[in-house]
Amino acid sequence: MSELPGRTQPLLEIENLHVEYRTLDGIVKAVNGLNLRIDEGKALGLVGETGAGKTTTALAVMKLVPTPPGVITAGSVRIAGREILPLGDAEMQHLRGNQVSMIFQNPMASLNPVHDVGSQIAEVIRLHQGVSPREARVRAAGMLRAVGIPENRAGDFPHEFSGGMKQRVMIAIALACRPRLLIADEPTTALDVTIQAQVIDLIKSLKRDYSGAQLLITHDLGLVAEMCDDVAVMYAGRVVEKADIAELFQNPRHPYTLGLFGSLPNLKKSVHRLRSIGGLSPDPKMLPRGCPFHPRCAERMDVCTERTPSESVVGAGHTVCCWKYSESGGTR
Amino acid sequence: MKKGLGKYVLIRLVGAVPLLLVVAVIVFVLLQYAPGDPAELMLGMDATPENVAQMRVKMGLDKPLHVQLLRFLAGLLRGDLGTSWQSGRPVAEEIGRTLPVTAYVSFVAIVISSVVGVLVGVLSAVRQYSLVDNIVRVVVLAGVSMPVFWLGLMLIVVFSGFLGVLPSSGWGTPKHLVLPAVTLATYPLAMITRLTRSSMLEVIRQDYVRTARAKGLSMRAVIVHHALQNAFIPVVTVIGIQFGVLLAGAVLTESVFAIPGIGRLTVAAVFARDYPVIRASVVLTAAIFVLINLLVDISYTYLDPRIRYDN
Ligand SMILES: Nc1ncnc2c1ncn2[C@@H]1O[C@H](COP(=O)(O)OP(=O)(O)OP(=O)(O)O)[C@@H](O)[C@H]1O
Ligand SMILES: [Mg+2]
Repeated sequence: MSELPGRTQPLLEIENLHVEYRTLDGIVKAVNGLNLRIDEGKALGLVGETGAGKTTTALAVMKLVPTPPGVITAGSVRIAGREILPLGDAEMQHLRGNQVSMIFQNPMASLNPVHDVGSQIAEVIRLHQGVSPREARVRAAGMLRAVGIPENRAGDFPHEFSGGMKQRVMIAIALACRPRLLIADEPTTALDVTIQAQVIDLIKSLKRDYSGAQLLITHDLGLVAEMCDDVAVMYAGRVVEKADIAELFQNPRHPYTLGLFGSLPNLKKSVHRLRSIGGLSPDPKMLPRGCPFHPRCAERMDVCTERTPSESVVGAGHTVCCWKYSESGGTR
Repeated sequence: MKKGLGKYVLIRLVGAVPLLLVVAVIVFVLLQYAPGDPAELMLGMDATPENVAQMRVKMGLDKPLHVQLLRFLAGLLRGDLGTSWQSGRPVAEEIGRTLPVTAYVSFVAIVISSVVGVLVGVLSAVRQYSLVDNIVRVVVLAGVSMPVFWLGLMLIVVFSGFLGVLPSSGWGTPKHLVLPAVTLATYPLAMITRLTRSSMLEVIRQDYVRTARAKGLSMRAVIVHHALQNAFIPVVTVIGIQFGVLLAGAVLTESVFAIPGIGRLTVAAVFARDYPVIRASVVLTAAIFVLINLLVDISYTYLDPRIRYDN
């Protein structure tokens, strides 16, 4: 895609990313040639069934895929134009928590039980901003206030907080150094519904003040509609369709996306979850030949069982990986 | 000091008194079933029945059992451990002579095994399945399965026999401390290393360790500032238990190295049916375990903020 004048620079660009987990039972191909791009100041929602490889993709961007068993086998990840996969530990440590931050799926276990929350926030500030311990504590207290927790609770320990408050503390840690990219991995699924709404409002309001771009991983289409500019739909380790939200909600193309949205996707309709569609997602240890979705696809063609489709452009900024939309019509 | 800790300690100490009395009763009763008459044993083969009867009166064995028991318990409560039948000296004096020796060797041994064990355990966990880790695991296995007296004898053969650098037995100079302390440290060292390793492996898989990495901390900083304290919590318990076991008197080690410690005192007392000394050393061992448990529980409040005793 050519750079149009006035179009913002990509902050995150992932190309042809492959990640696998080499386990005793076999090689789990968690991410298989994933392409993704988030522009400066934009929020992208990454949706897909469980096991699609969403968390693995996020960890690859942080270069925190657990190794062993995980290995990034190929691809390119650029943050603000800089290729990060070849970077060494010291350079990655400079990026993490500073330029790129991540909020994890499970807030209950994400804070260290033996340190008070104030020092857990102050730690990241000291590390990247080179301020005195005292100044770091002051700024940490400020971050607590920013996420709606009274400053005088900075000396309390994680077990003295509720799940929603722990997630707020995680958000404070993630945003403390004003990262250019914030990755939020299902930031609300572990929380109950009323708390979910609060945390969403918080992330939305902080987005304006703190974060450049966001990668929001979720199962929740309502959340995507509410918080994101663009959506990418992930299936078996690849992005099968992406577009801005208006386009994707009005005009979904990939049979998998259509299945997820049901017959009449509606942006106005309040929260609706991903529909479950028939069949099981494929075993990442034995991905089917051709398009990985073909065993579940109602519109399967012969070519689908043989070769993997590549990206086709079907609208402005709207791409699909499906033979139905391939210009060569699957005959190439 | 943490809030409420003083009161907690007081309650625990007061609560230990009935426990120790129960231990005292049990050891008293069990000794009644020991074969052999202490008075006869004390006097030797050719004592006349009159001599034996006199001796029994002197030792208080002529009194009914419940009287003997009550005297013993009353003495304990007053802090009076009685008099050794064998030496004729107060039991407190015998213990005062031998316990410091045992305490000294045990302390040195537990410090060595804790420091080395935690360091090696952490290293082994951080480099899981590396050459270092594999060597450590083999050595640990050897350490827990090796008979202590055999290790002691081997050390004597090598360091006193072949090399002639350390004394093989006796007590008094720092050199006398080395071989017994190393011998005693081996088993606790192996246990502490093994537990630290597995505890560390568990902790570095936790989500909060990933959070710490995501902040941009180096692996070393994550280990030192985040993992170590969490991994250490279960290790403290084992250090406490092992220290208690050492303090109770390492009979074999003290015998092999001829150290005048409480282990040897107790064994000699058992052979001579010196009941006052046996009873005192059993109750003392129980008291030591009570104290160590308390220390372990107190250290938890410093290691783990989830544990508090102020309510
Ligand atoms: N440490 C690991 N070892 C082996 N396999 C793993 C590991 N972590 C993830 N996987 C596998 O990789 C695949 C992708 O996992 P991932 O966690 O990225 O999915 P996800 O899209 O985040 O799912 P969810 O919605 O459940 O969070 C899954 O099949 C999973 O079982
Ligand atoms: Mg996930």
